[in-house]
Amino acid sequence: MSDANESTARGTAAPCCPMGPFCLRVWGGLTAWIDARFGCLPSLRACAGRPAPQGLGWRSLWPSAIVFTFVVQAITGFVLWMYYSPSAQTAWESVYYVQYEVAGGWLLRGVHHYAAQVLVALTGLYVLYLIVARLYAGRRDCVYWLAVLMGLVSLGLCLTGDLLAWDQNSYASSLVRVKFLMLLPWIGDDLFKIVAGGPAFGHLTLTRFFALHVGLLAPSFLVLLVLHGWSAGRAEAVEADPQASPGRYWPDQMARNAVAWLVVMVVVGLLIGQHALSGGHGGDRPGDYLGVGLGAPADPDPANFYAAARPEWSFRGLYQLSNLFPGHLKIVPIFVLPGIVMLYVFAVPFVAGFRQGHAINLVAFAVLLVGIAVLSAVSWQHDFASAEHQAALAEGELQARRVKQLARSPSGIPVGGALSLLRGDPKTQGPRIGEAQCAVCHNYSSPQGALTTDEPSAPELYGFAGREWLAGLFDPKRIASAEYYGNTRFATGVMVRYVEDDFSKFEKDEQAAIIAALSAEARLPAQAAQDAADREQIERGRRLIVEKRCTRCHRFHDEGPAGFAPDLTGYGSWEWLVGVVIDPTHPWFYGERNDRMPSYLEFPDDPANNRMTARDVGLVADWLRGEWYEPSGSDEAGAASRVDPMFAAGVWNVRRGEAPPPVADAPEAQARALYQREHCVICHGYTDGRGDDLVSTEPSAPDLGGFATEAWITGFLDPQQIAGPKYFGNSVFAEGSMAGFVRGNLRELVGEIGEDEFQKLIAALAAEARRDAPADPDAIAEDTKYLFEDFTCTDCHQFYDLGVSGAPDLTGYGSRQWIADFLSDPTARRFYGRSNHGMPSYRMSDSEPQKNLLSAEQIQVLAGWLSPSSEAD
Amino acid sequence: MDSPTPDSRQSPNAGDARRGFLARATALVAGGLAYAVPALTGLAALLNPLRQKSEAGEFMRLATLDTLPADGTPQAVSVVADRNDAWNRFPNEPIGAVFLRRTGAGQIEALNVVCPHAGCSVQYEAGENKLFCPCHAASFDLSGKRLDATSPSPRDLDTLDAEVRNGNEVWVRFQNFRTGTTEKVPEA
Repeated sequence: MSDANESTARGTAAPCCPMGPFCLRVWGGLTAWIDARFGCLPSLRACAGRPAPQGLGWRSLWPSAIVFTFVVQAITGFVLWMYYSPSAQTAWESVYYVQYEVAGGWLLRGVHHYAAQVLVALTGLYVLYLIVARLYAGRRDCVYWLAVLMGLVSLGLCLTGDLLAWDQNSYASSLVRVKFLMLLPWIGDDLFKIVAGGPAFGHLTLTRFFALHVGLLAPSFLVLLVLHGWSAGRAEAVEADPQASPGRYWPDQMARNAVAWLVVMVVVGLLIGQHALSGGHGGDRPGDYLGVGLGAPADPDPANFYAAARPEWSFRGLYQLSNLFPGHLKIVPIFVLPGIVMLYVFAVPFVAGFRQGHAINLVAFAVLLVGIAVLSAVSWQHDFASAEHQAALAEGELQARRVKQLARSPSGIPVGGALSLLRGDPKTQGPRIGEAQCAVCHNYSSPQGALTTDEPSAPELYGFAGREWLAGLFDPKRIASAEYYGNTRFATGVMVRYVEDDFSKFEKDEQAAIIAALSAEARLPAQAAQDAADREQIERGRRLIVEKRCTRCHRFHDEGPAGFAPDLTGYGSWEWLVGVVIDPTHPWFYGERNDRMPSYLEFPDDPANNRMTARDVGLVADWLRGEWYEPSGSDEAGAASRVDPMFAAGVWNVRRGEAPPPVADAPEAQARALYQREHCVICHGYTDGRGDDLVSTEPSAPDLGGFATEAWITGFLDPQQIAGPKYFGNSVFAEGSMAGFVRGNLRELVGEIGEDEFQKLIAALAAEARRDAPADPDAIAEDTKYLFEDFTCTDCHQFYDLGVSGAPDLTGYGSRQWIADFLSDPTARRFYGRSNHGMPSYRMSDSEPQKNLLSAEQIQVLAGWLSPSSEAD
Repeated sequence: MDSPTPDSRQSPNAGDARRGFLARATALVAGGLAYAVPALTGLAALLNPLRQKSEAGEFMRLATLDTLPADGTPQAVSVVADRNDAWNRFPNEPIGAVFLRRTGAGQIEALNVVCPHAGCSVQYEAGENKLFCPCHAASFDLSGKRLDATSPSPRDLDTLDAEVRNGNEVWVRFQNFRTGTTEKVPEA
């Protein structure tokens, strides 16, 4: 019996080689052994040897190609299953591993992804073929229905499989899709929770989708295939056409099928290589430009929702359709319309029963196809032309590349997953935090993406503490511009005046050395080589910082006072930046003189109440210093050894020391506090003989104790004292016109005119000081005015209606108003004009009060205290 | 059914034979190529772990000389290094341990604590001044040689290259070796 079957099957076989008979004998023995135990071979042979009754042709190619593609999916899917790990911290990471680290992994994943798309297309085309070839009615209705079901299951496989990569696009589009379930009345919310495994997407969503994909949908597809094969085979057997061509299934039909399989693989291959042809992915590893792309890992933060999320090609038409409906009607395009369409699709065999039913079906499918095609085309065209969409795509691509760069860094992917890499990356997070917290006031003019504000009210931060930035700060033409202090309260302060009047007069190489030394304090990674090379210059600069008396106001290592001006020790270093961001009012930074910068971590013990987390502060500090991982860079260890920002915050808290005692409300106490806080005491001592002097360690301006009293004026006009330490001795006016006059001409004049007149002059001046404000010119006696003429004061000074301007106005000299005006702006023509050296203008602008160092009330408090005017008593 | 005449069978047979050969060949070649892609890719991916080698031991600094007892008592020291697990990297994790023993001025000996029998950790018995494996009662002297006549262990404890650098630093080339063999073979 078996012999007869063998000869039937081998009826047209030709021996292929001399070994042929031996092979056939071995084969015969093996098949006999199997047949004796399983008995299935005859039916298998009958299957292979059966004639192809409807003739060789198209109809068998479709299911064959579908079977082939399914087997490809099973093979590649199984191997992928060996690498895939479905959890929110490991899904993306395991896919990344396959794509980039496994030999041929990109090909494996690429085949699986694109063969899935091909499977959807094949089942769709097969259904269309059945419709067009009129093979869906009568006893073939089950063939048709099973084909439709296969199509739906293949779509389900695509939907569930897509999410498994857990990247931005698949997460976002899956979330949107599953959220559609909420549109259904009554059961919507519960259905969402069942599908998502909870109230939100997470670990359990992945496990559910994975279980559905592998455990339910894939086996269902196989079952449907088998059922379809039975039903189609039965239909074919019954409708066998004996007149058709006498080909057999094996090998004739099978040869055609194999060619179809090859075509499928070629198509898949082209899809895999498409990005290489268009240069899409970018990167040097095969996984970067071959196969399926992998976006950045999914971020559950709604603020980071991927704006360019789109469904796959098969759902584009439906997506565009749903965009045409307003929000409250979304249930129509998502459930109602597709539901109606699917009902029709399943009813198609019944429709064919009517007269012209087949024609109706053809037209309906044509309309459906054209509609889907048009809607899809519109959707693609819209995205292509949309600048926002392209920008979101580019942003996603940037993040994807960055995370893969970080994954390749020596630190690798931590247990927290690749998302934590992005969240801890200063290059990614810096601009984000900067935009939210810093860019309101500061510009960050980076060529790679600037953060700018219309009205910067704080210094430019790009390149902070670098040599170029410092060169700009020390440039007298730039320090008072909007780029640095121009729009701040320090615009007319001590530092600006110092740069304009003193620093600009240093030698160029001295300036360069100081800048290099300051910049070296920051230990910027981009400047490391330069700092190492310029060690000598930096050493010199550090000596100059002390010699040129920066340390008069700033502490620098062991030199200088604390509390007057920002500490320059470690200026611009990570720790320093963390400190200034946490609290610029810290005594080591701006203290009570701080302008408008908020304290971002005021409450170390109460994290919820702070503007920023310690981690974000650390990231901002890293970002401003350009300290992040780059593949070509060398210093990765620097970042890894970073102190915890919370610890650094604690250190700064300890450095704060005890809070200073509060200042009493009395005007004198307030004035003394201001005198120290606003730097007056740095240059001007205050010796008033009552025992509570305010001592200046390095006075460079007149002592203000008893200013404009008779005793003070007498001492001022004394040739032995004017150039002494109490008056002009330590200032630039020591060799000036006034000192020269007092030592020279004034003595002669006193000799000529008389000591009594001289005393009257002094008394007149002291009387001016006791006024509250300059008097009416008519109220001054003519004799008094002539005194000033006789002693030639009016050759330089103005006194009421006499004299010229060019030296400080003596009208109301020393009165409260005069002092208030002087403090407000000593650079006014009325006072020192351009001869002013280093003294700030404490209140220059009425229209922009934020640029003033002192308020009008504070000026009055100081002026009242300094002036001998009787109202102050 | 009558069997056809021999003549009418000859020519269709020959033509059929050629067509049949072409059909078979096409089916086998095209089908083979088509299936080859997923099959070979799958195989390559399945066998990928063969590409991975555990790192050939490099010298690592384990301890300082002055923390080790001067009288030559062995001290167990943990070996800490970065560990890779597929896509994760775990920095500074314990990957093994060694016994360090001073043997003279500036001389040092290192033994892997893993017992060559089945992989348990050997311990130091201070009372009997020997190294002892609790799993199957194997005893070794302080230089790692087996003490029992019929020791469960197939070979002596595995020595590791150790040297003192910069006067005080102990550097050891840490490696693991196969258990159960008489020869000392590094683990792949």
